[in-house]
This record gives sequence, C-alpha cells and structure tokens, in this order.
Amino acid sequence: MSKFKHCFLTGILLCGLLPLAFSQVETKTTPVLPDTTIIETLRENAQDNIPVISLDESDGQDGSAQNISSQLGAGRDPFLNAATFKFNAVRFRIRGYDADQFNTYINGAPMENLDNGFTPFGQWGGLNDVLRNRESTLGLKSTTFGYGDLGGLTFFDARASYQRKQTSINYASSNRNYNNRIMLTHSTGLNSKGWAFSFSGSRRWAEESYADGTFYDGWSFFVGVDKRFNDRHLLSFVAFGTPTESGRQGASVAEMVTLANDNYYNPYWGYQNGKKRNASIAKSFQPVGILTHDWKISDKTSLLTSAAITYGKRSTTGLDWYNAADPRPDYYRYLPSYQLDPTYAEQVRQELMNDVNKRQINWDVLYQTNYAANDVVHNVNGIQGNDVSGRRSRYIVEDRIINTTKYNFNSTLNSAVSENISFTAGVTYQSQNNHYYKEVDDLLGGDFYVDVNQFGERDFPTNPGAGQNDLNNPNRIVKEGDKFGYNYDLNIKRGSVWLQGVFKFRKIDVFVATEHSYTSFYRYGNVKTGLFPNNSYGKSETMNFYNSGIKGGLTYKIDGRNYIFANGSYASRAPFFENAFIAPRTRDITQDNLKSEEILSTEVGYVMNAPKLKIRATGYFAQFKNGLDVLTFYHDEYRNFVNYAISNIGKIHMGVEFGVEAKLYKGLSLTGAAAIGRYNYNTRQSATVTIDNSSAIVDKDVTVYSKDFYVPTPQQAYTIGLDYRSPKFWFINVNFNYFDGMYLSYNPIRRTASAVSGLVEGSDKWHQVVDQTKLESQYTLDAFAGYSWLMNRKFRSLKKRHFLVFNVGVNNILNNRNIVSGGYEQLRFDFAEKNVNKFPDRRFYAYGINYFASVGLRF
Amino acid sequence: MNKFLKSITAVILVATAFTFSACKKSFDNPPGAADPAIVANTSIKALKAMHTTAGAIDVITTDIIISGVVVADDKSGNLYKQLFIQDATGGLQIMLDANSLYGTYPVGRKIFIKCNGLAISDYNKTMMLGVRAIVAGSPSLEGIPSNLISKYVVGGSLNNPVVPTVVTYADLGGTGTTNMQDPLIGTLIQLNDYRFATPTGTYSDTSAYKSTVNRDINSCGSQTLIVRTSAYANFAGVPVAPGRGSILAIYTVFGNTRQLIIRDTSDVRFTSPYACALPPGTLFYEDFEGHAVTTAFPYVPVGLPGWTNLAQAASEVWTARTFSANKYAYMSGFGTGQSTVTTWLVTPGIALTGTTKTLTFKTIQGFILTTTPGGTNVEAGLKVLVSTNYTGTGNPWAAGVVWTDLTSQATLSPGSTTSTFPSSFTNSGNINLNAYTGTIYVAFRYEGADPAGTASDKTSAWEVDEIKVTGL
Repeated sequence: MSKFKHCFLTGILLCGLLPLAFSQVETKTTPVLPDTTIIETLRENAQDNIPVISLDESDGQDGSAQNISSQLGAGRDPFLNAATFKFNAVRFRIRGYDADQFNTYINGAPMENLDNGFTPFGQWGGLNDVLRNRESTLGLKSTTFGYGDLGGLTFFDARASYQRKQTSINYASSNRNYNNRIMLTHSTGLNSKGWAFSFSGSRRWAEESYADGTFYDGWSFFVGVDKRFNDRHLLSFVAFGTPTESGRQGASVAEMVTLANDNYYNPYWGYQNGKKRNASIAKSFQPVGILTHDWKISDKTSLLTSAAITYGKRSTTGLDWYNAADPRPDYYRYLPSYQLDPTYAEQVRQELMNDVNKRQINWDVLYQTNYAANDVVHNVNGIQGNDVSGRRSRYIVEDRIINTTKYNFNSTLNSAVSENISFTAGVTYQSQNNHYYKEVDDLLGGDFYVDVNQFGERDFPTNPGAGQNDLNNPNRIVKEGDKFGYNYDLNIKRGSVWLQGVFKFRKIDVFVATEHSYTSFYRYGNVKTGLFPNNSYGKSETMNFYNSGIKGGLTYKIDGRNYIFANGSYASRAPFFENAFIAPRTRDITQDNLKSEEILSTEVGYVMNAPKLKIRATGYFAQFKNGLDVLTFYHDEYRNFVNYAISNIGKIHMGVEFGVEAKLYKGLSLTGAAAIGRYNYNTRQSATVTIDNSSAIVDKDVTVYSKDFYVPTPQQAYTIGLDYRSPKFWFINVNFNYFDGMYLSYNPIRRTASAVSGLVEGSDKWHQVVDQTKLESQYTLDAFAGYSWLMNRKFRSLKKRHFLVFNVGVNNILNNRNIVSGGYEQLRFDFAEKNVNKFPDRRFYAYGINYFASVGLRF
Repeated sequence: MNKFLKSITAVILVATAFTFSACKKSFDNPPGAADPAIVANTSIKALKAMHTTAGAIDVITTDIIISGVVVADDKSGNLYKQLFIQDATGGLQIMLDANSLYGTYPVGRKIFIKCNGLAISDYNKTMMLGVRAIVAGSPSLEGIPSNLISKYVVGGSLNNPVVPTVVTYADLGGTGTTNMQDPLIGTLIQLNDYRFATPTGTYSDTSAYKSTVNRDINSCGSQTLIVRTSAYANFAGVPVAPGRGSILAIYTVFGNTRQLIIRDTSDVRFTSPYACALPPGTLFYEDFEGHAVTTAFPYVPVGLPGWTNLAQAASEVWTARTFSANKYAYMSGFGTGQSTVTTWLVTPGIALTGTTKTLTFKTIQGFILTTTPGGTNVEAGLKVLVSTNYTGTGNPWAAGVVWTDLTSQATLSPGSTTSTFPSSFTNSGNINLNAYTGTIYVAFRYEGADPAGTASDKTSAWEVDEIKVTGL
C-alpha cells in the first residue's frame, strides 16, 4: 500500500512537471518508468475516449477510407489537451489549418501522404497501446526531429525497447463508430542480450454503428523488434497494419433529413432481402514497415535514420449506373420539393415518410432492372462482328481503388556543440506511387458491364470512339473484379534537407531553421480515354518545384515560471498533385498557372508555469498566398463530373489560443481553454470550369468574389472543466464546451457575377445567393471518469503487479442531436431561378449522447 | 492466478476470432420478375372510352386496374418519360416522370396499373394516362411523379411477345378525320411496302436546336404518313433507310395528322430496292427520286448504276436536282465559257419485248431568254437518240456507235418567256420504238454554247424526268 501510494505521488509530481515540455526545445521521450504506471494509465485511457471522426465526402476519395482519432496526440499543454479532447465534436481544426499543415513521424519516418499532405491516421488505428510514447508540438516551435509545418508536429516512438514491459488486455464498449473493441498487447522490454519485442493486436467492430446502415470491422496488428548492439547502436524494426472495412455514412439534404426524422439519416444504405446493405463500403489495408537506426555517435551527437515502406490498397465502393435512373434516394427529383403541384408534393412526402425503401437505396429495383437488361454488345474488344449478348447490368457496385506504394528515407543528426548551442540537420527522400482505378465489385444480378462512358456516347453519337473509356480495348466486357473506367498512376518524389540551430542563454533562447526541398510529380495514364485520346495515355509532363522555408524564434525567460516567446516562418510550398491536375481521371491537363503557395506565419505567446496555475496564451497570424484547389462534383444537367480548378486562393488565419489549468483544492482543479480565431479568404479566387467528358472549357478564369468568406471550421471554441483526482485512485472530469462562428463551406460559383446577374444587389434574394451560411452556435457537456485497482491487494498470490483499470467517458450528455458539425453547399447552382434551395446544402450532425467504456487488465 | 488470467486471455482471443471473423455481410440476390397477384378488371379500350371530350382531364376515382405489355419504351430516347402499353383491346400512352424507364419497364414487360387517382386525357386526340396536376395555375396532365410510380404501376413478367398489328393506310382512315377512340391509336402497327419520300438525310435534327422532325413516308408515291422522331433519339443522326419495305411503329395522331413513332431503326425494315414495282409492260422507268441531291452548288452529277453521263465538249455534266419535292436530271451550258457544250446522258441497256414499244419522258426548258422577260433567246438543243450497238460503256460518240435521232417524234418543253422556268413539265408524248429489237440505249444529248460575249449563246437549261420505256 505504501509503495503504491509512493508511486502515485511520483506520478503526480511528474504530471506537474509535464507542462514544462512546451518550452522551446522538447526532449526526446525516455523509456517510461514503471512507477508512473497509474497516472499514465489514466492519461492514456483519456486518449481512448477521443471520438473517432469519419472524414466526410467533401474530403474526397483520398481521406475517405480513413478514420482519424485526432489530429494531434494528447499534449501536455492545457490548450492542446482541450483541442484534442474537447473540441472534436464539431470538426475543430487547430488555428483553422487544413490537415496538410500537420506532420507526423513514427520512429523517425515521415508518415504523411505526398499527394495531399494528409497524415493517414487510419494506418495505425487501434494500436493505442504501442503508440503512447509521443511528442506533440503546436505551431512554429523548433523540434529535434523535423522541420515541421505551420500547425505542428507529432512524433511517435513505437520502438519495442521503448514500450513498457507488460501485458495488457483491454475490452471496450462504445456506441460510436464501433461497439466493441478488444485489444491485446505484450511487450518484453529489453532483455540482457539486447533484444526487445513488442506485439499488439486489436479488433474494433460494430454490426451497426451510430448511424443507420453503417458498420465497422477493423483489425490491427503491430510487431516491433529492437536489438541494441552496444551503448551506441540501436536497431529497430516495426511493422503494423490495420485491415479495416466499414460502411460509410453520407451527408444528406435537410429535406430528406426532415422526412426521415433523423439527423443521422444515411442515404448510403438500403434493404436487400431484409438486411441493411451499405453501398459505400470503405476498405483499407496499407501495412507499414519501418527500420530505424539510432546511433549515439558521441555523448553530444546522435543520428537517427529511418527507412519506411507502405503499400496496399484503400478503396471505397459506390453505385455506378449506365443509362438508368439515378439510384440515390435523395436525388433532388425524388423529393417533394421537385413537385410543382402541392398535391403531389404532399403525396411524395407521405410516400417518403411512410416507406423506408423510398428513403433508402432500393436494391430490389436495381436487381430487377439488371435482370431485365438483356442486351447485345457489338464489336467487343474492337473486333468487328464479335457480339456478346446477355444481361448487361444497368447498375453495379464499383470499387474505387487507390493502390499506394510509398517509401521514404529520413536521417536526422542532433549535435550539442556546446552547452549553449545545438544543431539539428536532416535529410529526407520520399517517393510515392498511387495507382487509381475502378473495379467492378458487384454486377447486382447482371452478367456483365461494358467499359464505356454513357456521356461520351450520348454527346458524340457519331463518334464511336468518344464513349470508350479505353480506346485500346474498345467495348470491353467487364465482370466482377475487372478493372474499368479510369486508370492512372501518380508518381511523386520529394527530397529535402533542413538545418536548425538552437542557442540558449540565461534569459533568452533563440532558434533559426531553414528547409529546402525539391518536388516532382507526373501522371501516367494506363488507358486511352475516348474523349481525350491525346491527353490521357502515357506519361504527362513532369512538374518540378523547388521550395524553401525559413523560420526562427525567440524565447524570453522572465523568470523560471514565466516565458514570452515569438516565432516566425516564411515558406513556399509545392502544390499538391490533387490540386494541380484539373481532371486526372480522364486527362493529364493541369491548372494553367501552377506555382508554389507562399505562407507567412508568426506567433507570439506567454507561458506561465506556477505550481498551482498554468497558463498559456498565444496569438498567431498566418497568411497564405497563391493556393490552388480542385473541386469535383456530379452535375446532373450536364450529367457529368464538373471540375472547378480554383487558383489564387489567399487566406489569413489569425487569432488567440488560451489555456489555463488551476489547482483549486486538493485534487480538484479547473481547466479552461479558448480558441478565438478569424480564418478568412482574402482574395478573389479564379475558377476555371471543365467537364470530365468534354474538352471544352465551360468557363475560364471566372472571378469568384470570395473575399472575406470564412474557412469552415469553428472560429471560436471554448471549454471549461472541473477535474477531480482522488487519492483513492479514481478521477472524474466534467467539461462544458461551446462553439461559435461555424460556417458551411461555400460553393464558388454562387459568388460569381453570373450567379447574381439579374438580382438587385443587396436584396434578400441576392443575400441568399451570396452570403455564407453561418451555423448555430453549439454546446456540449462531456464527462470522463476512471478507476484503477491494484489487484495485488486482494490477490496476494500475484507476484507481478496487476492493475484492473476502468474508464468511462460520456460525451454530449445533454443528448443534443441537432449539432451541425459541418457541411457543404452543393457545388451546383440554379442559375435560371436563383433558387438556393434547389440544390441545398448537405450537413453533418454530431453524435447525440455517446459513450466509451473500457476495462483493462495490465500486468 | 497468473495462469487463470492467461487462460482468460486465451479464451477471449479465440472467442473473438471465431465469433466475429464472419462479420462480412453476404446478401442473397432477390428473386426475378413474375406477374404479381393482381388482376386487371378493365380493358384499355374500356378505360379510354371513359375519356370522351378531347382536351378534358378525367380523373379516375374508381378502382380500375388495367394491364398491358410494354410495346415501346424510352431506350432509344425517341420517347421521353413515357411508355406505350397495349392489351388485346388497344394501346395507351403512360406518362411517368422518370428517366431510363426501360431499365424497369422494357419492351415485353407486362405491367399493371392501378388507375384510381390517375387521370386520362389526350394530346390532340392521342390518349395518355398520368396525373392531373396544377402547374403554374392551370391543370395539366403530367407524368406520375417518380417516387409515386410504384404506388400505381406494378411490374410483371418479362419478355412477353410483342406482335405488331399489320394494317393498311385505309385501316388508319386514309386522309379522313381521326377518331380519338380508334383502337389502333397507341398500339404497335406494321405497314408494308412503304418507303421514305426522300430516302436521304437523317431521321431527325442533328443541329443544336434539337427540333423534332417529321419525315414523310409513302407507298409508291401515295398514302403518305409521317414518321416523327425526336432529336434526342440516339438514332437522330442516322441516315434514313434508303430502301422500301415494312415499318413497325406506334401509331399516334395529332389532330387529323397520323404520326408514326418508331422505337429505333430496327423498326424500319426497308430492305427491298427503293423503286416500286412497275406496271405491267414497263421495261424501264427512272424518276431520279432515289438519287442523292443537294439544293445548292456543288450539285451531285447523275450517277445511277448503268448510266453514262459524259461531256463530249466542255466539261459540264448532267446533275441531279430537286424542286418542289421532285427530283430530275438537269443540264445547262451557262457559265461554261465554251463555244460548244455537248453532254450525253445515256440510260442503261433496255431489253425490248412486246410488240408496241414506246418511249416517254418529260422535260422542262428554263432560262430561254438572257433576261426574263424580254431578253435575247438563247435556247440550247436537246436531242433524244436511240442506239442498238452502244455497249453501255465508253464514249457514246465514239466512232462506230450508231445513234438514231428521234427528237422529231417528241414534244419538248418550249420554255417560258414570262418566267425563268415553265410552271410544269411537258410530256414528250409517245415515241415509237417498234422499229427496234434487242437491247437499246436511250440518250439525251444537250447541245449548247457559251462563247465569249452573248451573240451566239445557247445556254438554256434542260430538265429531264420520268423516262419510261414500255413494251406491250
């Protein structure tokens, strides 16, 4: 008992010291001392309680197969903790930055995707036990492991010898993305021969997740082996993977949500033979292997070198159809608002309200249509007279696949030249190949599908080649598992070097750093598209970019408890592949004016670390110039995919962050955090509109009056909470969170001269068209509690210490089911009637009351 | 205790692996189409009989159920948001506010329609079933809203036979007044021995205007009907069938105009030669109606199989022209700048039989005056010649080819001094060919001149049509 108390107190002590970790240079994580077990356990379980956010449709294909746990790991900073744990109900983004402004390293290897800069968090989902050693920084601070983007950087140390020596068995129950989780981890620690092993595996699953028709089935495994050769060399290898399959939820229009009387209405599923079938199933399995060499060259110099490889597929299924009625239940022509006569609007409303099969995908109709679809396909494979007859599916389930091979090499040298001066130098080489293609997943009762594009056929009836997806294999019959449609590769290579100097003096710390990189990418078309025979097949032009950045910072130490710091950075950044090619599915044409984005950022802050009071306040400013984006959507009038290539995107993100942690009385403390920002576009953007199946440019360099529009993440987020830690090994905290300044992401074409032509400027209708929709402010109440029981007290025969740890977190206790967590305007506009409700926005709702409860045994 | 925990671990692991590894859902395929347990209680004819006032919208308020087999769907795009169904008593147009109906209701599918709540009306005498809706303040018959279709329309078995009713022009009522209750309206019919009046051009409008196009068809020049085709049909840009034969179509009327709607080009079975069967004793007949023409320069030279069309002097040849829906051969030396313009148009060989052998044709001579009226006479000559030793190839004027001039037996167009062209063709009258046996060739030789200046111009235009040789 006394020993136990002792370690608990040690933990408290350590915990109190932790906020020091956000001083300018963070130290590397050292192996966790067993004495900290309980406090660490409590903390770690808090991480488990972070709701998993599904990336939404508007994030496009690339992120869609992923689930992310949080943008950053749990930090020790009162603000960062709040941002991580409390602000995620409403898609809060730190400083309003996109996900591409945050970097993640595992064992020294950079993990982000080169095509869009996102970190694929899903690749290590469910491996919480082995990813507990982490360093997170926020903003422009210097680190010893990477140059870093604007938002911050997270470094996971998952090496086997750094894992706590223990066995852990954990079961959790939840009503969020998954209902059950079982997790097993065993780590040996470093043995006398210099070996350490670590294993972890988990399964997370739900027959049906929070929203109707969704399910979740994710497995995770992790293997780590370390061999320490002597005091100077540690060689580590880890391999992990997370084969995951889930049924997705889609956002829908308010009209349908109301009819379904369910804010979590999901248009992606329908009944098939009485079972709920989801048409949009995300699958992903992209295992990662990382080899790391840690070399202590001298007492003052160390070199960390990593090589990593990731390969595998992620995919999302969806319906495709050929000359058939739109199968999506919330297609606007199926809704009451499409009826001009109120009698029929009411009848359609009744029909939709009373018949679930009308609100959901009617799989039976899709099958029946295919059963009846007898057809003869002529000149199959381009062979004259080669006719094939049978049931030509009008509807299929297609699988949109990205097969990625990614490898990288990263080496970082840290050297403390003197007591006051240390240098870090790094060199990185990254390579990524993405193969994008579609496969037939299910013919839905038909015999075959044909690899043609109905829009090309329709628009160019006299050009038999125009409808071909692949002129090299015209009229190809495809069956389940066959590739069809688009098929292209993306190849990106990036090399970079960076150098950093940190100078520490009695009152002042200074750092300067610079990074230089070279990025090149190209598209390689594997099929010759009928509409773009000269721009679709083979290798595109290679795009090359040289970029550099410089940053620096200064910390003034007023005394041992009060700091002031100021950091600044200026960098150029190569455009991402996703935003460079206007329609990579069909052609290799890029935006006209491909140039690097320029980003200027500064931050100024104050930190106070008193024993009973910790405060951090930071003001920041960031300016983005020359940004690019490509938006793609299905336009049912053109009956085709329309691409908006947006250029000249300028943004200003500015605001303050504030975090406080005050010890009130014994174990009771008060925590509070606020993020008050203003994230605006500050330029008139330029849009060029193209259609996937036409070489014509619909609109060229249209001015989008986007100035002063908001970046759609909450501009304001607040939390205040009470935290009680009992000396009897339990704790509870309750937080009240408030969010304001949330906006829908806007449709650029509604902010053009042609969209408002004919409307009186300043009239109500004009405002309806032009104004950005502000969402209602929201609040939630969350609670989290835990208890750790040392079993040895009851079971004295146990030799090792055994802990049974209970945790339960309940979020949105007030069960507010009307929290719009985000949404987007459809990228269409009714130019004729200027009726903004013809193509209304689609919204996401945060979960109502939801919980996560776990019980774990550790020994 | 340690062992106990370890065994618990093992049990949990194994249980998890086995219990949930079959999480991937599998789905049965639903069963295929079959007729539902619904019985039609009213025939299409009886339903149509309830609609008596043209233009009225009659809402059906009783539990009428009809059934029929889909005879035309929207697969080709010629029909849009509509189907035609028929039963033994008649056919009916069904209006559905949805695209790609053929996916669910392909030709041959039996469907059942619960009519209570629907409305029947007519679009200028072609009846249709839909809903009565108030659009922009006035009632109209509209398609059944797509999400309500399944309330009214129930699909049945597939691949039921669809057999057209073979009818004649007279069965359709000729040129008389149409009857809204005509049971043929809305059904699939077949007409035999028809052809396009002009067997060139496309089924419909290929321009950006996308206008619906009416093309005349006739049975050897009479009994004209209309084939009406949407520019959105996927065969809009396909050239019309050039031959002659049977046509399948949905029979519709628009007022007193009879309009046929084909489902796709396979309904047009014009596989016989374009020319109609000739009357007994006709040994040769050519009216140029099957010839490709243009209505502006450059014109299409007459190039029928077996014919010879050659310039002996100058280079101008006979061209095919069209005026007022009639095609003919045309030749003029005007603008050639040549002092002699001599051009031959020779028929294929004509095998003579019978005892009374006659040649007839008709002509128009245009531009006989330099200006009309009152100009200088510039008549060119037209000679009608017959040969028995021409071979059908080579120069008709070659040495040894003997031509007999029969021009004196023919009445030729005198031209007009009051307008550039006479208003009608001049019949040649019978030209006696009794003197000939075996195979003959008939030649029309244009003899003109257009030297520098206007003094000795012979530049009038000659048009020749309906060349016929009979032997009785």
